[in-house]
Amino acid sequence: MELAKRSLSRRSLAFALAAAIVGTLLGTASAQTITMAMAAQPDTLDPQVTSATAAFQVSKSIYDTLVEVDRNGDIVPALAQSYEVAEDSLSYTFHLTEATFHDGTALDAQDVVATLQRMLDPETASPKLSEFAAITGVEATDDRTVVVSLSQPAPALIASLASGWGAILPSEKIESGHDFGNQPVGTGPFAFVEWQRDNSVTLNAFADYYQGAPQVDQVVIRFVPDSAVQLQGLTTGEFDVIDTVASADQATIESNADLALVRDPSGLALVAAINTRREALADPRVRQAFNHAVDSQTVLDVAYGGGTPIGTFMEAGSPWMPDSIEPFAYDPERAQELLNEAGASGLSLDMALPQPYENHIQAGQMIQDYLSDVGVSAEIRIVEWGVWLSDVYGGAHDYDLTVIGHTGKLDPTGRLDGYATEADNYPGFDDPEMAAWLESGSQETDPDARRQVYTNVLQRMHDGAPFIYIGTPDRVHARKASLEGFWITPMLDSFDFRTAHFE
Amino acid sequence: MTRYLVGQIFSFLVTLWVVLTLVFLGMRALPGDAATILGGMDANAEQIAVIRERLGLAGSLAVQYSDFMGGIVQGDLGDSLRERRPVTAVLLDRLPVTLALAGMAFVLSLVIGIGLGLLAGLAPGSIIDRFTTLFATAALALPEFWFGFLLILLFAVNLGWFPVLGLPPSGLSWQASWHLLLPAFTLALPRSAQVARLTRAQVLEQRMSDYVRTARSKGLHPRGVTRHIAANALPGVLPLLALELGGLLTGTIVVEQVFGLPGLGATILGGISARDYPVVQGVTVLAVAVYISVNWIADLLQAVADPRLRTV
Amino acid sequence: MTRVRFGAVLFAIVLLSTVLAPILRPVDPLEPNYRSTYAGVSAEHPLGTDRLGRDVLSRALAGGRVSLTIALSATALTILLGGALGSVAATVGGAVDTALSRFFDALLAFPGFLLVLLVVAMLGGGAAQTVLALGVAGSPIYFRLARSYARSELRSEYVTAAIALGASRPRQMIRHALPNFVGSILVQGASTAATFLLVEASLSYLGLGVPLPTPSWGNVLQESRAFLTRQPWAAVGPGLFLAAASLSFQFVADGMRDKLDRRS
Repeated sequence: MELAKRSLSRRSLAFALAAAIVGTLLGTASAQTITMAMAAQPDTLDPQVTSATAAFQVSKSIYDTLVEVDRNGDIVPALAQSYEVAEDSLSYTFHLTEATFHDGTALDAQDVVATLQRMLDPETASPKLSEFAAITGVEATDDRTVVVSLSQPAPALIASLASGWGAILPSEKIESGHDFGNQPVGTGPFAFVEWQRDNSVTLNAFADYYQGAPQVDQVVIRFVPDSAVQLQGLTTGEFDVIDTVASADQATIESNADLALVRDPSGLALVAAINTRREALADPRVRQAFNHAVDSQTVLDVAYGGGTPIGTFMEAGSPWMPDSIEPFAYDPERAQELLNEAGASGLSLDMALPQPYENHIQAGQMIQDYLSDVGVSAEIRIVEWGVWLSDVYGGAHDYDLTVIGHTGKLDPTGRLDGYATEADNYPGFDDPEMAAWLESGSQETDPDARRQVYTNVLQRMHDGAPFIYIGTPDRVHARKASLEGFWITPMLDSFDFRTAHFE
Repeated sequence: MTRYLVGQIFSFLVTLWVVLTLVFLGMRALPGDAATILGGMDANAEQIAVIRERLGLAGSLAVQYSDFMGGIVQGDLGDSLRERRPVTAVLLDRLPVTLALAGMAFVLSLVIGIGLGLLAGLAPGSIIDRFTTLFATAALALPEFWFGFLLILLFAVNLGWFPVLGLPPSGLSWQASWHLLLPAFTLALPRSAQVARLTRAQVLEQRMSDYVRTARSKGLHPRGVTRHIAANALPGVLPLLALELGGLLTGTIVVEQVFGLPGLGATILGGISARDYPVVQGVTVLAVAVYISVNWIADLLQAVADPRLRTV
Repeated sequence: MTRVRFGAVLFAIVLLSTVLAPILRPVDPLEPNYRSTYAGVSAEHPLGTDRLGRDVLSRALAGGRVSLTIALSATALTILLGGALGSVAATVGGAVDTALSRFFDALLAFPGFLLVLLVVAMLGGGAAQTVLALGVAGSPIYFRLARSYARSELRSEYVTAAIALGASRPRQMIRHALPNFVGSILVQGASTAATFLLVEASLSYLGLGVPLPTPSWGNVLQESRAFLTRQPWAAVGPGLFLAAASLSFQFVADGMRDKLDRRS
């Protein structure tokens, strides 16, 4: 009896001690979570079936690409530690690094093969298919080497592979028809946990990430369309970083010592498209006049929270933006002159604006105001997104003016393709000479020659002015001052949490 | 009795069928479809066509209709075009939020409405009575969403007692009920006004009745009288409560928008703008079915409460 | 002051201020001023400015014109629609009556706000579409009212006698039945108008009703939601107008209902 009791009490003491130790260890390791509020929502987390920026902003943390964009905007190795281009530019050889997928399988060449084949499969219906159309074959010559064969030189291919839609997926899951849209699996720094539609996405740090485990344990991305609510959450500490800051709030954030306002150039090209098919708008002088009539810097400042005006269809700060092309000066008198020259008077236009975009609607209202100063009246019609896509951007192109932003692309072909052929672009711009330039530019491998081709194209787009060029808005985001290491990918505007941590 | 029930079920099904057909046709009359929207700005016509094919939108209207109706009969509401998963899963995800909100609002309107109505009816002409009458009229006239704004301004922004946001990141949980209090109160107010009004009227009617006079003249303690009055007045209020519950489901649509709650309201609005036909159809079916059932129950309760109305 | 009078006075104030707004407050509700966005309350802008620097007060008044027009015309439409069809059903009787009654029963079985929402959404949104949707959604009540009144009148002795003597049914109905249910229709109508006002505001708030930049009470409130914390008066102001208008309708309806009850 005595002995049993003593051993029992000794055993229970041991247990208690062990429990205390374990408890303390667990207790000291408190989970660090970064909560981000973003305004838009992804439509899917499958990188190959969408073109929505919001989708790539979230999936950036889940997947990796063969090459990636670094903080300076240069394309550097990622899952492919190196690559070579053949002499004739018709094949690329990628050498893969060691990496693991979230489901435990190791990255090998077959994954890259399966991923690219899925992208090229017409059944996938990828909106980015055209960027990979030159690929005739993908082959795994060994476990760590992939050879991509092309039908013609494709200097833009590396840019496409560095973009969000170049994400590498696991081959076994591809074969089994896995639903990447709702259950994404990649090699990225964070593994998918859950997606509560209209509410949040939760991601857990992936300890085996090939670039080293992230410094926080969890990232929660919350969908908050309201910038005032985002700011509220940031101030109360509920959010650690927010992606939408209204211009009126910028001063408030800057004066708050616990918060930090970050201003970077975005990759967007904001434009007011002019439907050149319409008789009244066919004369380029009329369109140039519109450009002179609008004070784009003010529009950027009031509607978008600041930015840099552009003179042609390329984002400011892009290495492809020629120094020689200046934005149109705000000159209402010159605008009036041009309108008179072209014999355009008393124009009455129809401006269709996309309902979900508050800032585009605001910009449109400002443009309407500027145009009325030079005798051009524009009636605003707010259209639902579905209607905008099918009737304004597509279909019958039922509009005179509309306002939209074009997302950044790493290569000019991504932005300019189709803009010389009336049937392929929504302002209806048609220029056979420019079309020929674009064709040659997409295959030109000599960097200097290529640059000259695109400079010519952009000059033509300035002179022909199928757009009122508004500018490139600053991407302003705000974060807790204690949050370091979070950055937004140049040109692609996606969110990078890999080095994020709290000081 | 059975003939009555069968008749009711039949008209319920017919109504449902007509409604679904109208929604089916109406949604497709809108320009743009889910394929166009999913394709976005970068997809070309061919790719949109493939997406359309995959979503089952490529067939003729008649084919799509028979597929849809055939599915409904088997209890299959189809797949959400936007989320690529079964509509039933989507609805089940969002239903708890709306149910929680409607539930809280119902309880609040019950407590406030019956409470005020009782107090007012038992003391006619008093301050409480006048306040209740005024409150009832004002509450019914107030735009719900504006009232929601005021609550947010006062309690969330100025006093900071409540979050300005919808739900906490963890989703629906017990702590989330704090987040639901303001929206529930917004919803409850006009409904509690209706309940208060009716309760008051019922109590007044009871007070005038013979048995009360008899009880009083017999010297029964006032509290006992009150208990009798209340017990007799309340059944008359039940049908209204049932009706209120039915209306709450759709009443949440605007309030969910104001407070940023991811419930059924957000689902149907999102479904309309994304042209997600199955989701819109699914939410409609659910809302109509619940509404009709609850009205049914209200009618039954009415018959139970008032024997004069019993026809069977 | 009786409730009816108070309601009527309040309504008159609201109505006049919205109608006379261009004279009383000659500030363009669509005129932006980029230098003073989100400005607070001031002498120049009693309710401040919104995100484009537009004067909130004039937007509230202009919005009132739009919202009241929609609510009142929708009420007129719904009374006409329901009333006419109800009278027809009662007068003609038979299969027509059964069909119409079934149709309106089905309509009534539908949750009201959802019905209006779906109809407006499917018509693509807009002011006229809202009037139409509201008109259809509110008609069952008037159908029933009109029908029951018409039927009871038609059964009354003097009408039966007149018909036996050769007078036509429709004319008898119009001459005798109509005046009686005008009273109850007015009461119901005031209540309907109040409801329609709030529903239109809700629809515009959701983005389905009156499209921007035309102001209506609903969409002005929707715009102001975004800067509720920055410039609360942009939200509170228009809402006050809406509440006042709605309240006035309610008072009129309540007061008239009491009068009618007392009479019967």
